[in-house]
Parts: sequence; C-alpha cells; structure tokens
Amino acid sequence: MIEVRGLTKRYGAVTAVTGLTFDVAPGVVTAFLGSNGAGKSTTLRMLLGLDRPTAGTARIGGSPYAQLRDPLRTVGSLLDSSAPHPGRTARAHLRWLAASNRLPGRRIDEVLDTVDLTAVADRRVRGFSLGMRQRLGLAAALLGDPAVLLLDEPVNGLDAEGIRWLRTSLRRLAAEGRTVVVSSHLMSEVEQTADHLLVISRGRLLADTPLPDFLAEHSAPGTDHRSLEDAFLALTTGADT
Amino acid sequence: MIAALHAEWVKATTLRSTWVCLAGFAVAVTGISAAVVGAIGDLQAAEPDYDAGLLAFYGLNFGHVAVIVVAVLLTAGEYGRQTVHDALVAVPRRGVFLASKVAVGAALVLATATVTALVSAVVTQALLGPAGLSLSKLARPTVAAALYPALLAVVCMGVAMVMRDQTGALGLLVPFFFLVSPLLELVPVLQHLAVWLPDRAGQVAVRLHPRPIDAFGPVTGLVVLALWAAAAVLGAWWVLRRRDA
Repeated sequence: MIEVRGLTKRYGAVTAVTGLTFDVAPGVVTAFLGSNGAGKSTTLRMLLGLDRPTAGTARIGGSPYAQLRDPLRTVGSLLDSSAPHPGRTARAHLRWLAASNRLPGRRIDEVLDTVDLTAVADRRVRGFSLGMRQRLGLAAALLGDPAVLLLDEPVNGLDAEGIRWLRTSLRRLAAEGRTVVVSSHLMSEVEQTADHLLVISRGRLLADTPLPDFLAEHSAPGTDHRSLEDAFLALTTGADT
Repeated sequence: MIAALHAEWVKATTLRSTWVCLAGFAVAVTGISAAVVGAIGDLQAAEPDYDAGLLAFYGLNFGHVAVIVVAVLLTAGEYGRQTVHDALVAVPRRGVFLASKVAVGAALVLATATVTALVSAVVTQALLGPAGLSLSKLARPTVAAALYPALLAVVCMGVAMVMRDQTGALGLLVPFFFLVSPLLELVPVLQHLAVWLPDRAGQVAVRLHPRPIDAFGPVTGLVVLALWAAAAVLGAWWVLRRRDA
C-alpha cells in the first residue's frame, strides 16, 4: 500500500534521510521506530507531500500523495508538528476538514464519539489538554474512514486509559485490513502494539522485519530476556561504531 | 476547488477574529467618516479643493488596518501554529489551496466593504444637508471604496503567505500602509513614485477629483492596485510550490 524508493532529504548541508526503501503492507501495525531526530517525521512529511524529497519517491496506493483525489478518504494522518487552531472549536476543526474532502457531516459526530470528545466538541481548542488535542488529532485522522493511517508519535500526551484505547484501536484498524503506520521512540509501547518494525537511525533504514524476528536477531547472546529496547540499542549503537 | 473553497469558508467563519476585524472595519470607516463630515464637513465643502469622495470615505485611512489584520490572520496565522500542515494534507494541491484561501478572504472583505461604502456615502451626504451629493454623483468613489479594501486584502494575503509569519507580516504591513505610504506621498521628491504604491493607487479612485501629483486616473488606479494584488499572489504561489511546508 505504501511504497518508498530511494527516499532522500537534505536540508542544506544536513542530510535528514538517506536512500530509504521499504514497503508497508496492509493488515498489520507497522512501527516506524527510531530515536528523536532519526528522520521519522521527515519521512512521514514526505509521504504526505508536505516536504519535497531531494531524491526518490514515496507513493501511497500507487500514486504520490499530492495526486490523490480527496486524500483524507485514502490516508488519515496525525503529525507531531501540526496543531488545530486554538480559536476554533473541536467541531469546527473537523467541519473544515470534512468540507475540504467532501466527507459527510455525520462522520464528524461519529469520530467525536470514537475519541470520546463529544462532550467538549463545542469548546475552543485553546482550553484543551495535550491529551484532548491528541484525541482530536486522531479524530481528524479517522474522519475520512481511510485505508491508510500514518500516525506520528500518537501516544504523546495520552493518559493510561488513552494509551490502552489507542493500542486497541490500532489493532482493530489493522485487523480490518487497513495499513497502519505508527512512528514512535517509545520501545515498550511499540513492543505491545506493533507486528512489524521499520527501524531507522540517523536517516538510514537498519531493519525491516517482523517484531519477533527482530527480537530474536538482536538480543544479546546468552540472555533469556529479549526486550525491544535491548535489541534496538544493540542494533543502533552497533551501527554507529 | 469547490470543496477547498467550502473548507476555507468554514475556516474563516469559525474564527472569532475574522468577525471582529470585519466589524471593526465597518464601524471604523462609517464612524470616522461620519464624525469627520459632521465636524468639519460644512467648512470643507466651501473650500475650493473640496473633494466629496475623500471626505465621505475618510475613515478608510483607519479602517484598512482591520483589513490588513484579517488578511494576515487568515493566511500567515496558519503558519504560526502549523495548522497549515493539516490544511495542506487536506488540500495538497498548492494552487487550489492558495486560490481558495485568497478568494474567500477577498469575498468576505468585498462584501463587508460594499455595505460599508454604501452606508458611509448615504450617511455622510445626509449629514452635509444641501451641500451633500446624490449617490449617483458619488457612485464611482463608492464603488472604489468597496473594491479598494478587497484588493488591498489580496495584496496583504499574498505578502503574508510569502512571509509565513503572523507577527512579521503585521509588523511590516500595518505601519507601511498606515504610516509610511501616506507619509511618502507628502515628500516632494518621492510623491511621484509614492502614488504607484498599492494603497495610494487605490485611493486615487476613491477621490472625486484628480490632484496635481496624480499620474493616472481612477480606473488606472484600481488597475495598479490589482496588479500589485496579482503580483503578491503569484509570489505566494511560487513560494508555496517551491518551499517545504
């Protein structure tokens, strides 16, 4: 569903992402795993047509994002960098998004209900907590009932209940046959949610494997304990030297 | 395109600041015009260089600040909070995004300015009593007083989209159109160039009579302003296509 080929992004002298090539399959939760500044957000921004690649291509459902007709019907996204306007109500934020992609108005009520924001839908976003903003972002991502979900650090700001809800939702969405990509630097969260890993470090793709295989390959010899954190650090620090 | 226009309409009309600015414009223009005419209209009307258009829409000199503010808030306002990322993800075609945004902003200002111009014309001329002109005699300045704010808004939206910075755009545009440009018109060496600036050119059409320093007539004045607007939007489009969001 997602095809990335030789994707490279340079900002002046700084290379954010180098020669990324991978596919993302539907039906599983794929975690885009890397430290802060590894190039996760840059890659997602290029997938969404916000940043222009220096080289390479990123396609969703066979075409570049910018060429999708009513893209919110195909791709739902939550960007770390994006925020709703504080002066608008949650409902108004979803209303303009729905209007931009000709989505039916009933979807607004449905997604508000899904993320449990119905009670505060007519309040301005200015007064929202980080967790409420994150829920609104997820509501926006679900608005077009998309086949592809690209979520940048969706756990940010969520409380324990919210995290559990998100985990269950992601699993359900993947089980429905959708393509679900979640970027994260939180190892324990990824360990509990993801089926497949894309590990990125310093702008390069280090691994593209199912989670159990990754744990088996990269855990320290002679130990029974195979945490994702250990495996990730073993791989990324190994790559640095 | 219709979906993108609809989205921009919802965005513009769900912000309180839009309505505050538009109402501020209407109140400032009609209020100040009426107050000035009420205070010194009789005296002015007896002067040989009396210009009924200039006096009837005197409040525009202050009201256009509200137009600049709303133009910047609707455009650069999206950049400060990165709302623009959501906007470009929803409407990835940059040309469609920009055109919808400018069209909705210009339409809101044009509608407000049309009503404001008509009310100002009727009220000020009524205050002048027998010295007041009929609406038909003041028709061209009234039309200009409706078009001028809308075109100025387009200039400001274009510049603000290029700058992508709300504070910076306000800091440049408000003092420039409120102070610098009118003052330049008073400097003898510069005034022949200053009349070509967007706001000065537009205001030529609001006056009923030409002045010695005017290099062109009312229609050309509006055309000059429209060319500035087109240049600003082209600049914004070029930047939007080239730069990362």
